[in-house]
Amino acid sequence: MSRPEAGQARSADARATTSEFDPWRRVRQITRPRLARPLGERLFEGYIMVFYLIVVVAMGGSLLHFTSAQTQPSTFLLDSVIVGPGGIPALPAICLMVLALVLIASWGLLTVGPVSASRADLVWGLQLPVDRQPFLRGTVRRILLKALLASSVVAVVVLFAGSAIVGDSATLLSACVLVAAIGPAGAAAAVVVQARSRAEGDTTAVAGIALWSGAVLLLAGAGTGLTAMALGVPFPVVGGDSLAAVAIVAASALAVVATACVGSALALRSVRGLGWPQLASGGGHHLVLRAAASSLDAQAVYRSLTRAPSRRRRASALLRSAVSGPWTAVVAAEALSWWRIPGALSLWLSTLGLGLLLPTVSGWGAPVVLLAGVVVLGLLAADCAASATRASALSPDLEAVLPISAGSARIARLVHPCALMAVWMTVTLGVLSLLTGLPVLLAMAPLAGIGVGATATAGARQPPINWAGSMVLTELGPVPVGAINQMTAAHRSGVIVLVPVATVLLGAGGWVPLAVQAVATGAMVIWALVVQKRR
Amino acid sequence: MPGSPALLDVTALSCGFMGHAVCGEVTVTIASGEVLGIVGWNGAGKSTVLRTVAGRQDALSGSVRFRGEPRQEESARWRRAVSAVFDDDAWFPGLTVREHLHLVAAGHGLAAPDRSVDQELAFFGLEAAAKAFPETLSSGQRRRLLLAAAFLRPADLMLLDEPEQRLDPAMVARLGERIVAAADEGMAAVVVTHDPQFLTRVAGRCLVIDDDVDELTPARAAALITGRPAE
Repeated sequence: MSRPEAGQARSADARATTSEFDPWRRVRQITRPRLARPLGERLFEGYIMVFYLIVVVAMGGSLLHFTSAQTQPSTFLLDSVIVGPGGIPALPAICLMVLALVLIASWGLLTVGPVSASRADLVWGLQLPVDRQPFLRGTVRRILLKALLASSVVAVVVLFAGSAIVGDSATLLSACVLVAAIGPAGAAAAVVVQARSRAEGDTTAVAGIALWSGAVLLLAGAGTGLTAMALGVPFPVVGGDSLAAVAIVAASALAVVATACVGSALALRSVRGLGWPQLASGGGHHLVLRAAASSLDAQAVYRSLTRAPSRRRRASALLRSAVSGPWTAVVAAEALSWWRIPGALSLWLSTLGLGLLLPTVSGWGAPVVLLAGVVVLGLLAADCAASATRASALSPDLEAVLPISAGSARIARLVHPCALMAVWMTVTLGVLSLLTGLPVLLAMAPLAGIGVGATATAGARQPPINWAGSMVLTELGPVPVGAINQMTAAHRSGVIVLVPVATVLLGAGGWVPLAVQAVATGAMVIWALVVQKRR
Repeated sequence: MPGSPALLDVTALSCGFMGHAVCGEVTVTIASGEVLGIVGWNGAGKSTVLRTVAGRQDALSGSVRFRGEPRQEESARWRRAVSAVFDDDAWFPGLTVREHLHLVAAGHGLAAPDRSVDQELAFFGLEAAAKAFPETLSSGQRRRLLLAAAFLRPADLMLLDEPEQRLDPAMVARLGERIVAAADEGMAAVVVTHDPQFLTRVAGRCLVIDDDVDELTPARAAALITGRPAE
């Protein structure tokens, strides 16, 4: 046997080394220490999850109790819009369905592994000569299974809680089956949407808008009775002896399994074309989204879910026609900037739609529920209305390019959010005013809108949270000292502005609340003007 | 124009952070039509001095007077008279290049804003990027946009922080000519720079920022920062 040439030996050694190298083993070696968490941390997270589940069940139970047919509906709404006790027994289930939809879809968007690479972002970030498809397929299947289990748990909770409180498990059964199907369907849709947007190199507003549209449609269906017709059919109770009951349960289970299978197939097909750049980008996107969610910044979460603006655009006619000086320049810039923030208009319109539907939905006519709805939706709409200010406040010296004083610029920046919120409050409280026969509500509406818009603008101009400063450990993780206070300052002020409206909704009469509203709005506008810009 | 009344009067200005001065006190006056260069090593405090003069940072001590009166950096009068370009990118979010320039022109009440915008787009080579959003441009194009906005509007005083950075040599040369032409028409300028050629081309006087602040001729200052003897 002749000795191999030196070159041949080196080549053989190189081949041997290459074939023995297992990139996935190397990846696991790198990521395992990073992914490993101490037992105490896992227990603490488990405790938080249990606590979270208890809170959700308690909230759902309270909602059911409030809106159930046994509860006396509002007595101050006109009879024409009140659906009496027993009118739509499926409504509690619908409310919980919406809650479940939002929770599950949000969770799906946050934890979708193949695209956003929640647990393996470091793996996607490494340029390794490996086939990532097996890893992707396994992750997709795990996600869909988790979603199915989670939504099934929610469905069971809805069924038992609803039966215990409402006492009518028959009508809840069909809704619960739908809830169980939402999980895999929502998770699969999230994978498909995110995979498609990754392939196109940007994120999409579809998921965010779909959430709101779904909620609006469900509530609209409830308002018009369509959902009640669809879900209120008195199906037999689980365990009943009729053949129809067994058939319906079996068909429902098959429907859920079929949904999971179809969703799995679609999700697997959608992730097939993803390459390393899209996956690495997804990892970065996921980190941003998690940071936004952890900081409780709803606007940042929504923006991280929305599509980036197009790269080129024709000049706006608004600037040519409306700008005649520095003051109008700032107003026009804020308005145009807001108009072009992806999803801002749809989010604002969605809150307006929900605000309009609120008083017309059976069971939600209770003053406390109406008030809570107006406050929550109003603050969300105001946060959205001030999103352009949030963006422009990142460049605190921007307005210095125009011959306008800082004070005048602050007033100009209030115009657009306050106008949007004046419209929002006038429409929603106007409807309430018509339904209740309380004209004072209509008179207070623009003032309340201006006040809430001003507080949201002031909140948008707050200095950014100092994540490099002193931290305190909370249930949400380490949070900078004073961050919660800073984040909620605008919303607390917004609630104060709405106190006069609340007194009217809860029964206060006369025109005194109007005067109080004027004072509260004036105070908040002044506060918004004195809040210093970021620097 | 030596002998003309001071447009900007800086007296014993101490600049720094959290009570600590980063350089010596600055005392200088600038008249209309003058271009003052500021040079120094990295970290010497050039940009800090310029930001303090512009009012974007609080002074530790000293005073800045504009046209004989204390400077009020948040007043419309100061903002109408002073055009500034700093290192931080600043444009209206959600507006394209053309829209940003149009907003500046119309906001300053120019008679024909569209024509002025077209001229600046052409001068700074931004016609092809007119419909693009600034954040999609290269860093050099973004710098051109900020300079275009600064030259588009009328101003008595221009404050420029390393305007030559990120620009190609041809653009730097044209920018120098533009500054000199504006000074010939009566505008004063304060220019922080690291470029000795750019300094000697545009500046009539020069401050060297360090632990002590000295005023030198641009040629001597250029020689100082390049480590070569002055010609």
